[in-house]
Amino acid sequence: MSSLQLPILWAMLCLYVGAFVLDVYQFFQSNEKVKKAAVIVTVLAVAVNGILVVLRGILIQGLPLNNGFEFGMCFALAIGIIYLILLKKFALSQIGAFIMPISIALSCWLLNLDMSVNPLNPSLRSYWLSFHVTAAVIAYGTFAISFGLAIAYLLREQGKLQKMPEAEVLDEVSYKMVFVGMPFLTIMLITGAVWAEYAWGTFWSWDPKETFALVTWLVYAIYLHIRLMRGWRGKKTAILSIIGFVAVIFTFFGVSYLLPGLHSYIS
Amino acid sequence: MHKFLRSLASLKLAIYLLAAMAGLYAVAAVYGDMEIYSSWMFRLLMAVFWLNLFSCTVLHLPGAWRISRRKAKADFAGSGYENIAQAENCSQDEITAVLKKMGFKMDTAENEQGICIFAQKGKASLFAPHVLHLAILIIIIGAFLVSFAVSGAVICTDGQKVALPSAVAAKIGEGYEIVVEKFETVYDDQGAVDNWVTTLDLTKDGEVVASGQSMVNHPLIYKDLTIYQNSYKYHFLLSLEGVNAEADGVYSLPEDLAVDVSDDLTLIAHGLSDEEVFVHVRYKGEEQTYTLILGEPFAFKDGISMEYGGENNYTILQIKYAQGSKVVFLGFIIACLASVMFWSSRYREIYLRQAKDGAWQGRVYCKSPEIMRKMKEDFETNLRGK
Repeated sequence: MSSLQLPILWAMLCLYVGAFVLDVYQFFQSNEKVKKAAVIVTVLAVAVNGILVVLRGILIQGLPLNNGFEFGMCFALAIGIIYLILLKKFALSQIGAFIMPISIALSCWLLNLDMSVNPLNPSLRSYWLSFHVTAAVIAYGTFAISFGLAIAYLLREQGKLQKMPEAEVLDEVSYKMVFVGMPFLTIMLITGAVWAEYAWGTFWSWDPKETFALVTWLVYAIYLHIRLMRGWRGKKTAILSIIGFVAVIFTFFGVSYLLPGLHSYIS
Repeated sequence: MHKFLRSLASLKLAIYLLAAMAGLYAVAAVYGDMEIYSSWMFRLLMAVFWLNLFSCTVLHLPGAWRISRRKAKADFAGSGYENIAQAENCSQDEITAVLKKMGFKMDTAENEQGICIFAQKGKASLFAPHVLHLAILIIIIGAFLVSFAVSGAVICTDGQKVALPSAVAAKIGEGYEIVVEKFETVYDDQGAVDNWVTTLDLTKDGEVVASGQSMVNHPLIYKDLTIYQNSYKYHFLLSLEGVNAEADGVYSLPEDLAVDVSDDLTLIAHGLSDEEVFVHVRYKGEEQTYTLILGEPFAFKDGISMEYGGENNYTILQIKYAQGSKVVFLGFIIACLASVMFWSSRYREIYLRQAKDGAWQGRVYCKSPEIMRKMKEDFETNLRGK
């Protein structure tokens, strides 16, 4: 069954690419048929992504949240599910053109990772891992969507891509994503600290990954404060959302490859 | 005093502090500079941040409390009210039923002029930021206390009794000892290492005060003392006879490390099972590997005999004495609670009034104009469908 992972991953990548092409095509040829096709292909991509997660769960006989490969496919699934919820809740067609590239990039990265099933290190055999990584997956998923919407907002505000939803809608939904993701990021930091206390005897060891996760939290804390208390909207908050997601990406990829520490097992 | 508190609680200061912390931590992480976290600059930053949060909470929490305790007032002079066409023929009971259905909590006030209804929803979200601030304040206090924690490691074999590390003993008091009953490696169904487990007693003046197991992710906790399974070493007991008077005896051989027993005899042990061990022998320039079985003497060469006496594993336990851990945990619980409170619906109010023989008038309030508009629509829709 392990050998099924690669073809499913390829299918997932092709479907995400297909959804992206259809989303981009809507900017040139906007009609209901193309729109519907884009949604159907996205649903299929997310379903295949879900199948991959379930298959991996069967292979490891547990929640697939233990290493970079498993986190990456859950991260892509979270982005897909949140995007589909947004599609249903708000009139946000064509936004997929800014979200799908993240899923495509994640799928390409997954293709380069070791997919074999290896026994877990005893320090990773903790139920705190499930809470910690699940919270991370949801938080990062919402921030990825907020990032896509922020890019779309900046382009829409400059008068480009007029066929997209109103700039105010993009701005509001981007903010909502941060608002939903921030408590999950807080829970991720807390569960990580509790786990570290039980496993390593210290809540916080200023390991590069945990430090950059805290930096990410601080960036989004600034975002929420200036938005909710100062009433800043639009361009400034869109830029902050982009900075926040750059911090997320650096926490996940940059730190894993450039600044290894206690979390280096994920790569 | 109030002015000072206001300036200390300023949002501008908070944003500068958050940005300064983000920048400082990022630079420290990239350059791997751990000393920065014990520098005066870091401590000053944390102290100002704490004061900023504290002032903000002290200043704004009472306001949130007052809003949450708001009651209906018989106010017929206030402006901003609009006639509610859908409520034209509604009784007070029908209106309260609609508000109840929408999840609002209500209070009513009545006088000779008429009746007023005040409805609220989403009180939890009013408190969420303050509760999160409070949690961060508690976590910082806990972290400050934990920074005075002391720790040290002890190394013991099965059955051994060791005193606590001196730094820990100086804090918790003398007379404490750790008695290791057994150290073992536990394997899962697939044969992979599941955990390393030390079964131990903690004694004070010979009396057992705590006993149990310490394993990875599950330390043994006694009051402010935490005993972690930190590391281990496999050792194997091997008795030698016939080498020479000086070299004969019982050896505890660490796994995979060469031990020179005499000038021309070197031994390397490697565990095979509970009752078997590989012994790689270098003797007079020749090398050979043998499998020794527990309790069975093995005649080597030149009158030398060996006997495997079983495992003699070492467990390495990390002992920590920290008084602030419980405070940090309390902060974490409150922070999780605050996170859940953030997901509750935004705070909103509906004011309704009906002057005697007059029509129902109302006004709605929410910080978000979008929610305010939707709330008004929902209320009118529900009234229509009552």
